[in-house]
Amino acid sequence: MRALIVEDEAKIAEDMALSLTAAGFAVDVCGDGDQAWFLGDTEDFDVVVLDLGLPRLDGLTVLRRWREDGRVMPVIVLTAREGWSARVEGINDGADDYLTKPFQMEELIARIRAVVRRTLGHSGPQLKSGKISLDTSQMRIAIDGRAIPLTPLEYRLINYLIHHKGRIVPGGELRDHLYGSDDNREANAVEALIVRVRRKLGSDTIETRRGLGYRIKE
Amino acid sequence: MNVAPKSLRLRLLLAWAVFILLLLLAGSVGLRLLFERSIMRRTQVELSADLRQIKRGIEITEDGTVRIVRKPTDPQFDMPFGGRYWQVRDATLVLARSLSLKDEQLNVPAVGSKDFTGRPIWFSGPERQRLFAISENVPMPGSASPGKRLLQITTAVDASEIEEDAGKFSSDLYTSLATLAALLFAGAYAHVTIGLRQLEDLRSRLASVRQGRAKQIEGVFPSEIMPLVTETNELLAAQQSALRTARQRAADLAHGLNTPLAVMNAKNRQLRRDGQGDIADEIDKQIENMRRHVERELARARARGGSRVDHSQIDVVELLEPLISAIQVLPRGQALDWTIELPARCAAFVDADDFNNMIGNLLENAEKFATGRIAVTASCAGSGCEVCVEDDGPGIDEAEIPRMLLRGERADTTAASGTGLGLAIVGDLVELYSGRLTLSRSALGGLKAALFLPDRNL
Repeated sequence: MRALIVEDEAKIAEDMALSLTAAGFAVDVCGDGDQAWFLGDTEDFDVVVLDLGLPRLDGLTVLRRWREDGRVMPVIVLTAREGWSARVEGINDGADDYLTKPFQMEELIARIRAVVRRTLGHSGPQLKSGKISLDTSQMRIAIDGRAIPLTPLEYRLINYLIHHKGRIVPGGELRDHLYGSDDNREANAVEALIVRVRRKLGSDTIETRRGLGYRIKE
Repeated sequence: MNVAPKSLRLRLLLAWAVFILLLLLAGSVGLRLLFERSIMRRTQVELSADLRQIKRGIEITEDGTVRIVRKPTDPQFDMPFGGRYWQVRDATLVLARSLSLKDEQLNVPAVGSKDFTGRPIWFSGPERQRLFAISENVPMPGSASPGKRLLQITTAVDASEIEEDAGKFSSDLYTSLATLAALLFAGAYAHVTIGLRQLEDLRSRLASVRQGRAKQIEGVFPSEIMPLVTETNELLAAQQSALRTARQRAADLAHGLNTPLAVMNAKNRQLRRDGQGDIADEIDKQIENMRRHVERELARARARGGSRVDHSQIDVVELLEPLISAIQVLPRGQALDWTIELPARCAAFVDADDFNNMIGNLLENAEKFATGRIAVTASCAGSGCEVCVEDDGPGIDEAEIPRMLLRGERADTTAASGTGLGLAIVGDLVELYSGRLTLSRSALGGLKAALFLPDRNL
């Protein structure tokens, strides 16, 4: 899962980035509205955390422009001084949730997971595909009820595929959503990762559609 | 001890009353004196005329007796003790007298002893009348050596006549002076009222400043009051600017604490990872405490209720609808069953942002605790509007209510963060509008928060 954090306070942004990475997200950070608008418009994110008080271009305008351009990724707005009027405006302009600063990081992560799931049509924190079950709140993966220890990257892969179950996910998309934009890995890095995961979870768990991409077995 | 009345109007009117009373008292005494002098002068003129006529009418007959050939014509001279008298005498005898004297004589001081010529004299006359008279000594006509034989001619009038006239004049005078006093007092009252109207105007304009309807005292006042207005306006401006600065500082301070708090949170997570969970828990508690202070201070600093210059009556329904729909589309809002009952229109006197902050906090609180249902109702009460937000959550212990509103403490420590704080913030805000927040048990089972806002400035 790929997350964009738009926050001009460097310390808070850094803290959020660390926490989100630990929670299994590939994180991009940007500190001003202009850049945020560009990034959100040109790259695919699974979730955006958007501070409303931004330099250059305020958060509400950024959000409005994204939605006008048909960008539908879930957005959580962070409000501090703005109060409820801005919150209501943000939600009615297309934000999926809001959080008031200062907030607890656990709360932010729970909200992020909830909007991501909801956007992809899942209701609870427990996702299941075939014999694989994924508990997003615990970041735990089990096969037939037996927990399988995975590296963070391996978890990200299953997490992404299981959220998009039933769909063939192209290798390029997987690479973007697992490594983030700063990571210039070759496409075969994804291939190698898939091989490792298959070894842990079973060879029939991830299906390869040559030339198209990967799909998790239902 | 200060005995002056507290009312300026009363003081001024009292001063006027004393002034008018003294003025008219002095006036009446003076006028009466003037009148008496004038009546005296006139009487004296009349007496002199009579005296001159008698003087010209004196004839000495051949046998040496004195005869008055031309007497004064006033009939009072002929009526016995009629009030007007004349007599002519020499050193020893009364030679001629008016009929009104009958056999009496006027006891004018003796001839030769003193010359009273042209000067008024007072003495007792017949029937104890007090007489006002003039007297003149003339040489006997035909007498060869002038100093040898003198005649004293006296004309007199009963002084009670003069006094009676003066009395009549006084009673007329008092009537007209009383009328004059009434008119003057009415004038004074009008004067005081008109003068004080400016103060009343000033008072009402100051009141609108206090009630937040105006930032400054507006309008043009007389040059005597204008300096006071200017000074007051400058004081108000200084106070407003100090208040703005203080608010801004509070907001900056609260906002500035956000970053360190976030950093401390991050460090705390590190501690927990390093196996220092106990310390981390304690620090977390303190961070949460600070976070609540920050949030409440920010909400207070943000409130506009303190200065109500820029708001007018708003329709709360118009604001409620987008607010409710925003909460409804949120992940947690979608899972709840909402009952919404709003009138077509409901007016309240409140800043739109403050209203959003109050209702937003109530909705957020309800949504956090509700297990399945939320009800939002608004109704126009007699003097304002009431918005009720109810949920079917655990509700609150009534004994906890004052503590929650006062300090924004959580009713349930296991609940999501910020619980209770929202209610305290609403309590802070509604106070600025002379409204009230009432917490009670809802028919749904949880908390019922009723927010009342007056529809005008109180």
